[in-house]
Order: sequence, then C-alpha cells, then structure tokens
Amino acid sequence: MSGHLTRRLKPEEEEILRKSEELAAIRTTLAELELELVDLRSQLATFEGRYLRQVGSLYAELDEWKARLSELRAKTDPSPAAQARAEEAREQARQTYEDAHGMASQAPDFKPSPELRGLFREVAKRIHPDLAKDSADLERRTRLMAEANRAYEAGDDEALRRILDEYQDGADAVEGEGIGAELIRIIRQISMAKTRVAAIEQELATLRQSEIAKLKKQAEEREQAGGDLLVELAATVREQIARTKKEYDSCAKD
Amino acid sequence: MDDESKLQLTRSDVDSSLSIPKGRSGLIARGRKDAVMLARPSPFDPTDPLSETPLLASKGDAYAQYRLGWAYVYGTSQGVAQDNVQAHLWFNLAASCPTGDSEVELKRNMSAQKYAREALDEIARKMTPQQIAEAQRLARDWKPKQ
Repeated sequence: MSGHLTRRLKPEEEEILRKSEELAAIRTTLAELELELVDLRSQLATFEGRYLRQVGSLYAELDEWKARLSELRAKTDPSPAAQARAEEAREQARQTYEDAHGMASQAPDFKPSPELRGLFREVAKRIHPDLAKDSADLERRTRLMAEANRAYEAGDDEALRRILDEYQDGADAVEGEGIGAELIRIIRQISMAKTRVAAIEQELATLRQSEIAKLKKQAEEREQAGGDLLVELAATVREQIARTKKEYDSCAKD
Repeated sequence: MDDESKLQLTRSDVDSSLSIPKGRSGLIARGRKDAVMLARPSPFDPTDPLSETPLLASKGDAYAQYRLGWAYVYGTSQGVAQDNVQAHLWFNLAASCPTGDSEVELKRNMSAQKYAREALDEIARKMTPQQIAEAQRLARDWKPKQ
C-alpha cells in the first residue's frame, strides 16, 4: 500500500495535482464571494423594502397632495404652463406610488442562519456555472445556481438541500479522455473561475456604490449615533405633507 | 470546449435579483437627498429669536442670510412675517458670493451657498415672475451694511 502511495507521479500527474489544488482554492474563494454577493443583494433588498414601506409610501402621499394642489391651481390658471405643471405633478404622483408600493416594498427581512450560509457555500462550490465542463452541464449548473440564489434569499434550506441532491444525482463524474484533456479542462475551469471572481468583485463594488447602499450606510451611521434615519426621514416627509395640505386648503378657500 | 462565450452570457441569469428600475432609483435618490439635508445643521428653528442673524445677514454673512431666508419662508413668532420676496432676496444673496474671515467661516458660508441655491430654486417655484423680478431687483440694489 505504501508502495502505491509513494509511487512517483508522472510530471503531468503532478501538474494535475497542483492545478486541482489551485482549482479547489479558487472554488472556495468563489463560493465565499458568491455568498458575499447574495448577502449584500439581500441586505440591500431588505433595506430597500423597509425604506419604501416607511418613507417611500409617504413620498407617494406627498406627491399625491402636490398633484392635487397643482390640479387645483390649474383650474384657476388656464395657462399652458399651469396645465403642464398639473399633468407633470400627476404623472410624478403615479410614478412615486407605483415605485413605493411595488414588489420591492414587499422584501422580507433577511437573517440567514449559519446553517443556511454553510449550505449555500457548499452549493456554490459544487455547482457553480463557471466550473461547467460542457454546454449541457453549464445549462444545468446555471439553472441550479439561480435556484440556489433564490432559495438562499428566501431562507429555504430545504430547497438548497434538494438542489445539492439533484446535482449529485446528475452525471457529474464524466471525465476520462486521458490526462492531457483532464489538465486542459482544469486549467480552463481555473481561468473561468478567475474571470468570475473578477466579475463578482466588480459587481460588489458597483452595488456598494449604488444609491440604496449609500442610503443604507447613512442609516447605519445614524444608528451608531443613536438615531433612526428612516424614522427621521419619515418625520421630514410628514412635515412636507402637512405643509402641502395646508397650502392646498388655503388654495381651496380662495 | 466552445462554451466560453456562452458562459459569459449566462452569468446574467444568476445575477438579476437586485435590478432597480429607473423610477425607483429616483425615489431612493430622493431619500438620500433628504437624508443629507437632515444631516446638515438645522437652517432655521422657528422658536429661535434669530438674535444676531438679521444684523449678520445685513453685513453679508452668507450663513446668516441663508437662515434669514428660511425665517421669511415660514414667518416667525418673533416678528418676521412670511414673505417669499424677502426669502428669495436672502437666499439669492447667500447663494451669490461666499466670504469669510477664517477658513472655518468660509467653509460654513460655502456650505450655506450650496444649500441657498437649492432653497432659491424651491422658493422660486412658488413665486410669480413679477415677485421674482422684484426680489432680483432688491438683490441688485442691496449693499452690505458697514
């Protein structure tokens, strides 16, 4: 047995071993980055949902009052400018209402358990599309990875387990075609995984620069200072609503 | 393997969960803007007796001019009547040319200048062209008190 273990590897076998280790390391990095990406997306979606419910809905109310005010003014001012302002304000109110009460406002709170995170990491490592061997495999991995992202965001660990099972049941271990082909396959997988690592890093950077990420950061800073930005923003918008209503009432009296 | 180009294309299938439509991103930017406004020092407290503000404003202090502009936007219980023309005048002056004897003062006045420009746009939307013309005339004729 020890003779088997100490058998000198051929150079190409040594190369495969080295490259396999490299691939394993990249798969780990990639899985961590995928997790970071899905975490960030989910956290931003959760925060956006809170923002839209707490503040966005008030902006919708404010814009509704602004539209009513403009329409009221347009009744006594037949000028094209006043009519255009009223139409613009009505369109703005419609858009704000749609944005504030759309699907994004329904985003649930996101608190993944360590088990869920571990499971997702495992899925990402095993089925990542960048590690596909051929187009059929790629298609299957892509579908499963998208399902895994959705399952993770929904906190559905059962679904993640099902995805892992499904992949294991599939024909994963089709290798062969000799050591040379195997080596080329691994090198290509490493190269694609590296490309994906760069793409995820780029996407993380873009997400962190987004308006919603910046607003979230402001909220976190405010929280550290003992405040609640969304509550304060809501109060500001309520004040604006009160002012606009007052203006509307005085305009209605005239 | 001829799948590399396909690999590039299929990535977007996995990465589409946080796409913000243009409209909604506008609503988020609006919150950001208001959050920035919240973070700045309060421009005007209606219970503030204004103390030295009118005097400093009349001498050309941009921050005081900006605060006085807000006092005219709302009116105060300390004798400032609501007056959009006066509000426009003081925002306009605050927005025009920040000066300061010290770096801190200059920085504060430059910040006031920036906010005054926003306030000026806002107040102008509530005014008639005649009122704006009157406010601009007052600004042209205005001279700082020595």
